[in-house]
Amino acid sequence: MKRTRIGGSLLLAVAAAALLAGGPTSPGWGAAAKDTLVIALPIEIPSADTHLAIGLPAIGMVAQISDTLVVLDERGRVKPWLAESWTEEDGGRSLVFKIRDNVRMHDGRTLTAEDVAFSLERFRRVAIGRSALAPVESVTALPGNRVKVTTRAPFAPLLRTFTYSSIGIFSKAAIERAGSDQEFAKHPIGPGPYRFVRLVRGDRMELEAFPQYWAGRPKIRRIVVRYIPDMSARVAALESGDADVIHDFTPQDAERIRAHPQLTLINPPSAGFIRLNLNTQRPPFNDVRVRHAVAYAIDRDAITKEIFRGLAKVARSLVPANATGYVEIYDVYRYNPDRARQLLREAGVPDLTFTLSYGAGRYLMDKEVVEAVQAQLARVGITMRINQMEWGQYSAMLRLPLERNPTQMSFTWWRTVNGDADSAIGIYSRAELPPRGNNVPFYVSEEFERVYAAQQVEPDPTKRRALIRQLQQILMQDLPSIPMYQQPIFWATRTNVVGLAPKVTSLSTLWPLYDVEIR
Amino acid sequence: MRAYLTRRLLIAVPTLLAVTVLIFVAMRVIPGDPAVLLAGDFATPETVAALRAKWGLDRPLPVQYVVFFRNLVRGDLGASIVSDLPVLEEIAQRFRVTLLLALSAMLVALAIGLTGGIVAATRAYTVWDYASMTAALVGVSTPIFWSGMLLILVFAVRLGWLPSGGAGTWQGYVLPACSLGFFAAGVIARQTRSAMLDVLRQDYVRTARAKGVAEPRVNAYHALRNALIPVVTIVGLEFGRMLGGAVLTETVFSLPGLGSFLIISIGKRDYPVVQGIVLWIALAFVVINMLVDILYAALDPRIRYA
Amino acid sequence: MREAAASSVALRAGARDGRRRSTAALAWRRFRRHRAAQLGLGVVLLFALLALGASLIAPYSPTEADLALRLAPPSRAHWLGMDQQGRDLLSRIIHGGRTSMLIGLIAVGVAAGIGVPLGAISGARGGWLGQILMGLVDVFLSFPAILVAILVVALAGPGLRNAMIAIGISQMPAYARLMRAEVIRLRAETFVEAARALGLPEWRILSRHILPNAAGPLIIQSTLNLAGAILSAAYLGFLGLGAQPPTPEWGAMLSDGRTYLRTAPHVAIYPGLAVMLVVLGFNLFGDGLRDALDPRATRR
Repeated sequence: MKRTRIGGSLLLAVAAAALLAGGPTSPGWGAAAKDTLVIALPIEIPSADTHLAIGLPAIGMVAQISDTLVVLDERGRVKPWLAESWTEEDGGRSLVFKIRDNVRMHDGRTLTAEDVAFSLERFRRVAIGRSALAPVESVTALPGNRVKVTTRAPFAPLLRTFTYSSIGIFSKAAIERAGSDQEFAKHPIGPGPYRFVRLVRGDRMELEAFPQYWAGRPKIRRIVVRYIPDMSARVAALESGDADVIHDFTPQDAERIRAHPQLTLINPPSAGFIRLNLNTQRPPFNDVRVRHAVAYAIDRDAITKEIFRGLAKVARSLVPANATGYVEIYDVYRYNPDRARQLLREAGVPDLTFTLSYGAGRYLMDKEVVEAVQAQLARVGITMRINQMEWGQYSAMLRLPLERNPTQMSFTWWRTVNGDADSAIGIYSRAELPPRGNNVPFYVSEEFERVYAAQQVEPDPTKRRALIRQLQQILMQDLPSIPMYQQPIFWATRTNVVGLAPKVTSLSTLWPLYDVEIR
Repeated sequence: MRAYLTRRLLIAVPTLLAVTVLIFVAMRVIPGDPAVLLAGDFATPETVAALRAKWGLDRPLPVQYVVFFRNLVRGDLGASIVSDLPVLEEIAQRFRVTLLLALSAMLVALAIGLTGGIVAATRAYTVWDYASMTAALVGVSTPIFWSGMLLILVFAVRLGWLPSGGAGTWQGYVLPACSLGFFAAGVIARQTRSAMLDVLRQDYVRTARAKGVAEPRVNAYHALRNALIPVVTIVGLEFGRMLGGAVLTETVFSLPGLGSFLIISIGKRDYPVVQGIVLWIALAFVVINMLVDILYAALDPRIRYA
Repeated sequence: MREAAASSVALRAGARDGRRRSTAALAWRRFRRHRAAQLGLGVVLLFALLALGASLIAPYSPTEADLALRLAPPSRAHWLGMDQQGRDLLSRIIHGGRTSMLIGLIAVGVAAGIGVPLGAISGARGGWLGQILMGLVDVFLSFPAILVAILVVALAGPGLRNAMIAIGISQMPAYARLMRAEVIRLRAETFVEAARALGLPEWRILSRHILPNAAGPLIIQSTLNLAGAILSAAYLGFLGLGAQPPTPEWGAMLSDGRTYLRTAPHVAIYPGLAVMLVVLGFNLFGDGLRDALDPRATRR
């Protein structure tokens, strides 16, 4: 018996040696048939109903069942989809969509304006993300297969909102037949390229090609979306052929995948960015010089170059880089330790000490980044303590009102809802102060409020863009948050998967799977 | 024994009751709001309030507990905050995975642990003894994410003999069962060896030897039965722990078991699910520990429960 | 046969009371003959020495980072290579021993300190009290360790001391169950029956006759738990309990290295080896200690 045990350890040792020595990779255990695409995600799919699902990559997958009215093209412009055209009415308060005729749904019915209006109403009623349509006052189906969406006041980013993959369109008859939202979610029916087969919670979702899809029959017969929570396990699944497509892994793995002949790295433009928020109402960060000093003392280029292996870009404004109107020119905080020390002396805090809190393990490389920041700040004499927190506890703390909020510096990710800078920058307004919203730096500026209000009602796109630039300038001067880097998005496929091209949407990256094939 | 069992069963009720109260209070004492966590960053306070009202979280705590308890008595654990599905259904689905993993891992652990421990004890202080002890310690102090990943890299990536994870097939359980089983085997082997050594030195074994009873028989009948008592205790503890889910093993091998479900549900403050799982784990421990106590008496007839 | 054995054990048990000093001397002599135990003690002392004199012994600062040298493999200047921040791994392991061994020892101490008496009383008293105590242990067994940790952070705040308590609490039930099993097992033994027949008080039987004989399983459990405590410290670190960056600590170093298992294995392997060696040392030492204290091994 002892022999077996020792044998076991020996086997492991030999195996380790074999690994280090390298050698051919096997074709994979029970390699899936070529007409099935296995996608491994870091989050589980809680529901197959886009209105109820949470988590961006999950919604992207579930959205294959439903479909959206409009989509964004490669250059980020709105493009017709289920809606073949649209017009503005009522002085910019209404949008009228003409729905494509002869779109077949999974239950055999043809998509009508009724289905669209019903789906939008359902989204407004049940969806977790329903605030995306908060400005909407009414949705009505009109004759001629048209749908009219009216907002309370002119809302410039409305059209883009409909590219949001969670605002999916479903069959009204199927929803009514299911009886309840929960029942429908167990077997959703829409006009999308894939129809629902089954969802095993915590494990997998299976989809099947819908041959009558309006934009053409999908090339892959089956899609299996697997939940593989462990990062290294996902990469191993891709290497072994157990998965054809994976999402989310370390920059180190990304480098390795890029060099691997059988694997392809996809690194689409980022949809969100990481920022460090400074509590502007409390010492030490109520002094703008101290905020500037910290910004000068952080070497963001070193972080993107070393920790992200050059696969992430420095964020140079407080809106995401994919938002319309993003400008970098107001970011003057190139790494300058001398300037940082000088500012600290001027502010009278040469031995600045504070605490950074963050929800450890939430974002890619977060621990490495905060530790690197800590070491960089130490070089100019700043002592930054790190307080790692469980996510639930952390997010509750960020939302505490100022009187009870102990946060000095926090680490958060941010994005837009609809690709418009408005929704990303709005958190710096007074209306968003905790506990109501996400103004976690407790930033209050009259100038900002004025310009922010002006851009929301500005009908002229050019003038509006100028106002949005001005907002970025104000923020980068006052610096309630330090923009760190554009959070990279890593996907990888086996090289025989062809046609999986990222479509950058407002909120995330969408994968039109109907065009993908396995060779 | 009958008095013991009666008492044991009578104590089980307040034990489980205490667990429900403690877990109920603990989940609500810790900061973090399920509504905020579920609704996401863009949620308005109105959305959050509506969600809280939907789940009844806006009512006073004692009222919430009474509602929970009343449903519990009727066998209803409520619905998951995250999925809206019945908690019982959610747990049952994960428990199938957990049970399979626990049974197969325990099999591995017992086979390796018991035999390893017995052989080490009968040849105590030899090279074999030290070697197997070292192997056991390596097993215990190697993080599962390490040994598990090594197994995946060898058997799934390099050799392609087994899947890298997932609960779809029985093959998917081979690597996780080994990974989890090796860990428990280390503990079992160490306890078996120690207990065997203890017993082998005891007077009645010496007496038996002196009376000329053949050595193997001594080992088999007297020594082993006695030695089994601490071993059974440890096996019971390990098995109970496995039935509660093996978080790390489940994570590394992407198995949708109870352990990772519990961790995720705590993270999302899915109160009904956490309450359900913990109650389930408590039930498992109460039953297993009772069985273990009965086993003590079966193994050594001299044991009487007062 | 049983009666004969019983009387001989009873005589020995009674006799031992009278010559405790020589028992200690005997144990020391036996320990000195136990070479593996000395090796274990040596390893433990070596790591303790390294930890205590870390600032003198470590070749570099454990916190000074150079991102450009991130994940550099072992070299002549840096024997064990650099970690994910570009810090000298050897220096971090030497410094990290202090925190890690402290966490391990105190957590195990807390767990055994609560669990052993609990199990002893439950085993010795039986009846309602024993059952209620075991019910309590069942409650603790079913309470998720992560929830204990989050609760401790919420109620008592972060910090190293609270981390040790949290780990201790979650390891406690194993001691209680083990100790109880030993008490139940040993109470059925002839020498305990004999001691009771001699009219020795219950606490005396517990402390003098049962505890030394129960030491084996408890010592083994402790050395194994030591490894568990050091490894789980990393997890607690993520919840804000325990050492916070940049303080080096083996558990966290191991778990940080997890990300680089494929690309820079040295980052995880060396802290892992340190944990393994210390646990091995304690184990060998524990074994020797148990043999030395074994009341029945007098003639060996």
